[in-house]
Amino acid sequence: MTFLRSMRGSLFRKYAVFLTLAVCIGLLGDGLSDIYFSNRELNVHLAEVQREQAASIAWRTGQFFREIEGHLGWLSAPPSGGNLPRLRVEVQRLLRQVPSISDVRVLDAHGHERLYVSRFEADRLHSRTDWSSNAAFRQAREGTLSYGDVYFRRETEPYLTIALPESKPGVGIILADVHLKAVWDVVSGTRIGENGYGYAVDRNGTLVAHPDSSLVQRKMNVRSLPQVQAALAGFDPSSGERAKRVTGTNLDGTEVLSTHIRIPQLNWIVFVEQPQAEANAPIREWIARSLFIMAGGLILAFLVSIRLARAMVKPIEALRLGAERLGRGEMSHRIAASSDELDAVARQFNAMAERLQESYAGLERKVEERTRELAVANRAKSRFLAGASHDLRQPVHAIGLLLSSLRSGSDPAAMRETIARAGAACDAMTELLDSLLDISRLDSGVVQPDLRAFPLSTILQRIEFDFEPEARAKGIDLRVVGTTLSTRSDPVMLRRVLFNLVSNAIRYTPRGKVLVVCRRMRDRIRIQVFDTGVGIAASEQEAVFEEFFQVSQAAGSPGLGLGLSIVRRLCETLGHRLDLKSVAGRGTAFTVWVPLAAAPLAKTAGREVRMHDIDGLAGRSVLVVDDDGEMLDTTRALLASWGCHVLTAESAHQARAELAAQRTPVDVIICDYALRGGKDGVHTVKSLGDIAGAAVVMLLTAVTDAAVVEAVTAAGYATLHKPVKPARLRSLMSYLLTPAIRRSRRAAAS
Amino acid sequence: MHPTYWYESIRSVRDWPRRGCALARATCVACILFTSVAGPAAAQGRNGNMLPRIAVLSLTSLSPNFGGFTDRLRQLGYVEGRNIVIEHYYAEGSTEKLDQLAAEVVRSHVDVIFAISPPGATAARKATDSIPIVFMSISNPVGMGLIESMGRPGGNITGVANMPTDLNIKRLEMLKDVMPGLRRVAIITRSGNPNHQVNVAGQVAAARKFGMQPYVYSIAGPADFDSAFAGMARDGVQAACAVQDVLFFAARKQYMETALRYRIPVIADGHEYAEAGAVISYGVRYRALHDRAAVYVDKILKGAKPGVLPIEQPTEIELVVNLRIARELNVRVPLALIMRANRTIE
Repeated sequence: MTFLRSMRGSLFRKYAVFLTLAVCIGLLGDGLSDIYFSNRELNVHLAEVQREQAASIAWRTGQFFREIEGHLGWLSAPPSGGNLPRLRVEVQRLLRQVPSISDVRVLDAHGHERLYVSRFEADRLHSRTDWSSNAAFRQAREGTLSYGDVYFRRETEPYLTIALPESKPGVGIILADVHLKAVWDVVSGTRIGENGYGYAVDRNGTLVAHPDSSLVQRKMNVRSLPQVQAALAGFDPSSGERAKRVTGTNLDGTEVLSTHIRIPQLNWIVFVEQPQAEANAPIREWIARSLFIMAGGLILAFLVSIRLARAMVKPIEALRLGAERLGRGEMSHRIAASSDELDAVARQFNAMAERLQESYAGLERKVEERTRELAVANRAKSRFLAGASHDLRQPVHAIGLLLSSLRSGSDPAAMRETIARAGAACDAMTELLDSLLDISRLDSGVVQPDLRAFPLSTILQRIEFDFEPEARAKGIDLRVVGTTLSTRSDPVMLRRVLFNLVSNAIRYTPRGKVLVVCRRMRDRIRIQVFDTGVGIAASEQEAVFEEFFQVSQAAGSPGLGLGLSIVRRLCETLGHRLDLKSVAGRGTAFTVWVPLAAAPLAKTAGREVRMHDIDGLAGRSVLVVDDDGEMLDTTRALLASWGCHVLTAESAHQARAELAAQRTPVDVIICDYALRGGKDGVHTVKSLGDIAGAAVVMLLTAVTDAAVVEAVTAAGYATLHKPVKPARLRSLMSYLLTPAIRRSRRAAAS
Repeated sequence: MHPTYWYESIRSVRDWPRRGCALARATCVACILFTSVAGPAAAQGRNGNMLPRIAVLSLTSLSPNFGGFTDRLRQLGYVEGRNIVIEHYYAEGSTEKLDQLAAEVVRSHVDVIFAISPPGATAARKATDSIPIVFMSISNPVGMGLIESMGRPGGNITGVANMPTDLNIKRLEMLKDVMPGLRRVAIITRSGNPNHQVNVAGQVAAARKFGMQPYVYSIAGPADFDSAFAGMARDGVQAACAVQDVLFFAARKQYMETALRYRIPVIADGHEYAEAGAVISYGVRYRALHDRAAVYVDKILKGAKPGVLPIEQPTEIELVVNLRIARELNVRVPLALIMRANRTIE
């Protein structure tokens, strides 16, 4: 319906009206001018025809009398001279030759009849009848040939007397009576069209010839007819023979077109008339035909205009409609091609719609993918949570059981045993929570690798150092092949990776060997951890990197199933490639590809370097601030065992007092983030002000909230997540106390 | 959705040609039906569904010149049997029978009566004053009381007159020209023809003026030809002038044969006499009179009132010389007359 409405809109109407007008004006102009000129031409033609006919009648009538004149002229000069019997024979011959002449009289100069020859009556010679009063005779006596008025014999027979003057003395004047029926035939023999005819009047307006002879016989005078009146009014014997055309009425009162011409010698006027309706019939017919054709043309023009206008407006309308539908979101709508200039527009429009649709579809696909990924991640999280909860329940359950047995038991040996087992359960839980914390940190993205060049040997030595006792205890031959290569990575993270791999290798190797070896491969270093353990079935090689997955052959073995997932996350974070090769029952080989770096600044000590020397913790002074007294004592004992000088405080106030008493600045401040009284660790440490000096600050926190970590990092402090494993605390401390790290962190904090 | 445009109905234009065909066919059928029904009806003319009827009323039987009448009618568009009916009423010389026929004609309600010669015209005039009468070949209709005047005859009658003047005087003059020694001339009249009795005195006077002794033989009819010519021979008549008469005309062959038998040269009116054996004929062409009469009939059939149609008079006079008969009768026809003749018969 919108289309219909808009089709009736102004553009369509404008086009239609314009096109129709353009054709109409042409057609009308052509038609009207055609009619006008044809009308004129036809009128001229009709007038010409009438004029010719009138002239023809006049000429033939004149010719008729001229012939008679000729015959009479021959008679007026007969060879017989005055011999009357001879003359009579001549006249008789003349009557034979000219049927129209009924009587001939030969008069002497005085008007006395010398000879009379007639068709009807007895001839007379020398009758001397007096004709001197005859008008025609008088004119002839003056020497001019004259025609008398028309007269009727026995009422109905029209005659006319011609008087011929004496051409030779002694012959005399000749009077001839001429019957006019032959003239009638000349005049009435002319038909003009269907109802047109010719007639003649004398100078008085009396009919002398008419197709209806009875009118002439009744001596009808038609001078009342307008055309006759006009002709008589303009009657001038001296005027020429030009035909004149006027309108008038005939005796029936019908409008006629009339043309008249004068016959000079007779003083008659010949009229040729045609009813106006008939004369104009061809013109009317022509006009009717023209109008009909014009009407047809106009209708055709109208239809064509509508068609054209529609064709012109339709593509525009289609464009408009397309834009409208596209605007409503019907992306699949396209405009039909129209094979004209607007086609390019339509094509561009379609291309635009195509692109819009594509980008729309891409967007939707991405949203879908993301949703699917999210669902997968959500499922993984759920699975992760379920696994973690399950693994946490076991030691808690065990501790619960041990505690109840402690409550009821009294044997000291059994109690020690129970306590030892509870400690082991606690260790397992701590380890699990540590791992979970690591994964959580890695997933939350708060851990940014601190990439730098360092010698691999530092890590490898630590591995050997840390796992040597465990391996020996298990009867496994642990070999770490030393190297001088340096890599560019985060040393803490890389060490964690290798720790986990070696730990796994030892754990899943009942007997045999574990080998850690590095090798340079062009610009990379391949670090491999081999073992001769249970191996991983090919079907499980993917799954081992997922959380809480444990190799099926190793059921019942200790472990959390988080080690490899942490390894995977760390490698992803560091951008190191991790490969796995394994044959079930034969052993496993993990390969970590790390980039090769130039030798670092610090040169490494030999293999036999003592642990304390590596850490550089001995002799450092540490301030521990925690509102939990138990925690304070445990930590003090631990740090003291590493050779550190420890100060403890339960609040900021106490800490200030301790520092003031110490007089010398401390190297490290370890502070709980959430202290009693709502004060956070950052605030507490800052409140210590200058007394704290340039100490390395580590904040202990149980939360992994990114905001907290950020706040701590912003303050230039390091974060330490609870519960703290001694090894982790020690490595972090030693790392932070490295002079280069201290410098760079201080610069960043300031 | 395709909207419908208001002008889409015009698309049915393509059905027009077929409709036009049907229309044209229907029109054709209608026209054929109309013409087949109305055509003959239109041809029926007046008098209900009857064709217009013309009654030819004559004392004598059909003249060879009657063809002039039918020819002209045909030229005017009448075809006998199609749109005109011509009925013939011939009295065979009997005046009584002529009157009876006239009454019969009037009873049958014809449209026009074509009355030939004074006997026919007189009978028709007596029988009706309502049915239009067209007469032919009457020299003096006013004198006979048939019409009021030549220009306006009045009543229900009009027609074509014969020669206004008595051509017998002209014939006598012509006889004198041919036979200068002519002394005794016969004038043959019919006792039943009133015109003859009117004109005979003038003819006698004219003959005397031309220096001839006139002998008038008035007979009742063709039966008396022989006795009349026998009387002429007895009286020593050298030539005879046959006065025009419809009865004599009908019996012209017998008339002229009788004259030849008695070796008396005759001058008569119509060329038919010359063909039959008259030495000279000088008179109107009757065929032309018939022709003109047909024009009157046409005008009346087209609604003209006879009373206002002026009487037409003949102007054409024909001179025919039968040279063969002249030689036979030892009549020397002068060259001047032969030159005047419209026709000569060898």
